[in-house]
Amino acid sequence: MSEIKLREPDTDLISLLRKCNSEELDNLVGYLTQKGGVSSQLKSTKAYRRWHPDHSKYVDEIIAEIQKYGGNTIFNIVRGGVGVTYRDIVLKVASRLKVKTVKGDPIDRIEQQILMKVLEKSWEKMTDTEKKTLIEGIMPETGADDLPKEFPTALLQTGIIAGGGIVSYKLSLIVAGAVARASLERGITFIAGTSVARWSAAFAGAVGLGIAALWTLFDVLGPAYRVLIPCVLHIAMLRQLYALKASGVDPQKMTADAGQSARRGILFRKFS
Amino acid sequence: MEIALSEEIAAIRARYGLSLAQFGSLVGAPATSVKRWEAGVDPREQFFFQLYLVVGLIKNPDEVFYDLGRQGIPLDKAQWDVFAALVKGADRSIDVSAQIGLDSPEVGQALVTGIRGLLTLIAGSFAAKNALGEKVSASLATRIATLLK
Repeated sequence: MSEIKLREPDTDLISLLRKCNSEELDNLVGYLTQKGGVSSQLKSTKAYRRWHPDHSKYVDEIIAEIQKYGGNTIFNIVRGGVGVTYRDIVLKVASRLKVKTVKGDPIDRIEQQILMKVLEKSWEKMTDTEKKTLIEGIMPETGADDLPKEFPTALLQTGIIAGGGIVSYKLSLIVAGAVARASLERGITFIAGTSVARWSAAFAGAVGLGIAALWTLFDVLGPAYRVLIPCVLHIAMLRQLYALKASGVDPQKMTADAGQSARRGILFRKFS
Repeated sequence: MEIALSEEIAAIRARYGLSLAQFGSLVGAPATSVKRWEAGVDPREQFFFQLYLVVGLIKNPDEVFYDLGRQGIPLDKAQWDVFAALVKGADRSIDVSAQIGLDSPEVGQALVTGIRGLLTLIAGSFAAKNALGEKVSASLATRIATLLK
């Protein structure tokens, strides 16, 4: 039983994070503890003090702390001291970022929309060269001449449909990585040294600048959102990672052009 | 499980031996209001926040410390622990007294002092240089300041 009260059931969060290893959880712990300072409840637990940095040993504490960030626990104390479900958190973040959601949408779809919104806001801050780097990084077959002025929502969505999990994962990795660098001054730790890391590092700066500028927005939304938004983006990326793993793809060995040929046909039909 | 606020107030007063006036002083309300709340009358909206905060502080001051931290309100842990110890000590002494067959201790005033100390610390955190806290929680500051008058 966790020291911080866990809200169960929470099917969108508990099963996913319990599957993760310590490296995959590392950035989440960073958001919860480095931003929380002396007020971090996670840091005060016996489990954290005993097992840190072996985060998987106290994953329930991590989940419970995320759930509590989503709720007003002053009111929850009277109701048993638990936070809110991850779905409530994601809907709250979506609402604050003005992402339109449909009640009943699967959680990965809402997370994807949040990722796109963050990317869109970041897009506004990018130079043309950075925009080109980003688009080519995700979809190498898209030439510079295709660079749209507005955020290419349709292009990216088509790419996601055509490329499936790989493009979704790449997108989530770019955004989560950029947020990690802006917030924790380090990237996604568990991909360090892999081909994916080298690929994402190639254009991390472009997105990173835009995301760094977005930090002001997260601040305005309220202190809890400085933790919640990075957590949601990281969890979205972990969900894509595990979806890929479940389909037999090893994302750690993924190359920059993975899924390219499958997408090329669809993109060609749509945009030529 | 959700517990009705009226039952919560009655249970707290009975456990700590607080008079209607003592409990009322914690939330800035007269004794007659406390009596009505216990009888099941819903508190006016302005008292809801104070009631939840004070009930939260009595039941689990540590939880409130961390929750305020999540909302960007920085508090001095060492100072907080001093007053939280009064609240927790009052609670524990009731249980231990029962275990060793001692009459229930008179801890009402210790509890009131502890809660007022914690509320003062919360209010003080808004006066500190804290751009986020001031911006995000101005209404919270006003409510707690009113409480401490």
